Amino acid sequence: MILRNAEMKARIMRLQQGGLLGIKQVTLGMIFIALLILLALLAPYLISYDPVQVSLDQPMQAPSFDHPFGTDHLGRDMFARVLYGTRVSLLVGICAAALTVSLGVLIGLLAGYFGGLVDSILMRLVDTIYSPPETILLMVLVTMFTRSVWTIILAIGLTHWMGTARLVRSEALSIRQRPFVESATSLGAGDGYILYRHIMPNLLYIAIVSVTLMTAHAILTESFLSFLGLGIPPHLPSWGNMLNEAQRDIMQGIWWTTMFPGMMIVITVLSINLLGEDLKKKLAPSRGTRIE
Amino acid sequence: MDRNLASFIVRRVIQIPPLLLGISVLTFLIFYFSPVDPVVAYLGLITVQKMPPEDLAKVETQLGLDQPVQVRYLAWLGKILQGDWGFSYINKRPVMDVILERFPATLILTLTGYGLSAILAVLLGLASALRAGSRLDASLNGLSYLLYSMPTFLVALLAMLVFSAWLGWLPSSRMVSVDVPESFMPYVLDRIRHLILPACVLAVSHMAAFYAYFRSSLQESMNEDYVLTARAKGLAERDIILRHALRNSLLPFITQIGLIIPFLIGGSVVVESIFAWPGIGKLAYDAALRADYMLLMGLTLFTSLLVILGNLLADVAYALVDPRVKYG
Repeated sequence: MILRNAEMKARIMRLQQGGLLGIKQVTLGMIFIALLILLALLAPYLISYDPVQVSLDQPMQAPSFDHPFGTDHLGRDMFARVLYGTRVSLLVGICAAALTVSLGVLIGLLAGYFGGLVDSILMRLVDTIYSPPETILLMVLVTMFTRSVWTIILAIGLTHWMGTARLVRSEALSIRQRPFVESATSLGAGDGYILYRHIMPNLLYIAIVSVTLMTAHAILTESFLSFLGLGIPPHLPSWGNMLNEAQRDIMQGIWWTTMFPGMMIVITVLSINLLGEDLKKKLAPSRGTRIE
Repeated sequence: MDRNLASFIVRRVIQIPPLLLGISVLTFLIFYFSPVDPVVAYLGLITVQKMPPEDLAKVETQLGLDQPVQVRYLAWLGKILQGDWGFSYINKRPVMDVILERFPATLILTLTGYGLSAILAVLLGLASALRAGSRLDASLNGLSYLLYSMPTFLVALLAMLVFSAWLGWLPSSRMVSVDVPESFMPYVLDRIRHLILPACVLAVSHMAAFYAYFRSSLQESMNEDYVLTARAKGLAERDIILRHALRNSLLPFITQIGLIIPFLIGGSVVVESIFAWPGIGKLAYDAALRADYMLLMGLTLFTSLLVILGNLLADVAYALVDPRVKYG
């Protein structure tokens, strides 16, 4: 927690220091994200190779004009696989982030607005789920259920909502005590109305920033689980799955099966993080709130 | 020890038992609601398939599976408290024994790795603070940002590619060689050779967070009034940083070390499974792959306990260093 919060502050400082070739870093990041979404959508039209097509006569080909990223041990085209991997990563990243933040906002709102017993119970729940290390909890959850893209999304969602919940709770607590809420109450507004019209809009910035940063974290988490062989089912081309298979090539000194999917993860996560930091700076300039 | 500190510690320790209870309920419920057959979890799938049905029924009664939830939970909790953490079927031994046996390997790896990481981060943080705004500062910041977006397993794979496969300098797996040297010095050297790569991977991949934390903590100290005073007195920037700001930013940095335990365990899972290091991270990975639920339950409880202790330690250390906390 502390490490992450401090990280954010340091990153803001860093962001203020220019970029590359006169273009701001965040602009570069956004261009890359746009490109990535386009690639994910257009993947079938861009390449002639099938990402799951096995060609046993062409295993372990180094990058060439024909196969720009080379081929893997089953002769599958790495470029096609990396491109299709974009779909899995973005799907998991965005859905898991949406689930995480929805859960976090919902629970944080309930705890912060109603306070009292509801608050104590929900916050003890947050403390409890925070105790086992994230990695262990994730590993336990994914082994419990049949593996699919959706169970991975669910597992990431269930293990990451607590940060947002704490943040939303403390914001909701402070907004609830503001005069405009008091005046709405005295005019006879119900809880639902106040939550919807007064509290929620003031929390929107937390949700937007959290979704962005969480997308990056979810992509990392998915790749990590898949890399361990505990994530996306192995027949789907995801970056983590590719790296899992690349492990066998490493000791033979083969670099392309590791380098290309790895590079995609790093650039994607970096771009989304840059965007998230920029959004935070713009949406919450003076609040000094720590958003995870 | 002054009374405020003592009462702070007592207040902090009182929060722990309910939390432990919560974790035990959570662990129990995850496994209760999971589609896993408890008999399989206890004996392993192969054993169960070979068993005649009447034996299975006997085991079910023995395990108390015919009892209601709350009775089963209490019975399970009672056993946990007595140190009976179940039986790991992949290791064919009690869970507690396996965890305690594997834990020292993890300690060696993570202490070396994170120690190295923290030292590097402080040195680099100082270097960039001494030349704030320079090209060195900017590139260190850029590097730490890049490393932060890079998963640990990728660092591990790249390190293995370069140092084991291409250069052939370091072994890529296990804690000792298969043909362990007999005499003392070669044996120690062999252990160290196996430690270098995984420890450095941990160090490099977690340095970014340490660096950013220390750098911003140093930055905060630099904005304090006493730094202004020192400047007004005409002290050189170098002396201000090394004599004044460093001490005040290093202290919170050190006290917060207890909070990194979740990262430490996460890192050890990755690094230990890649480098076949026989610690609890590898143990958790094997348990997850082969669905050894007793072991997974044990590891969840054990690592939660470590995290809670780490948090307590960090809070107490911080209160010792910063008197304002105790009165809060």
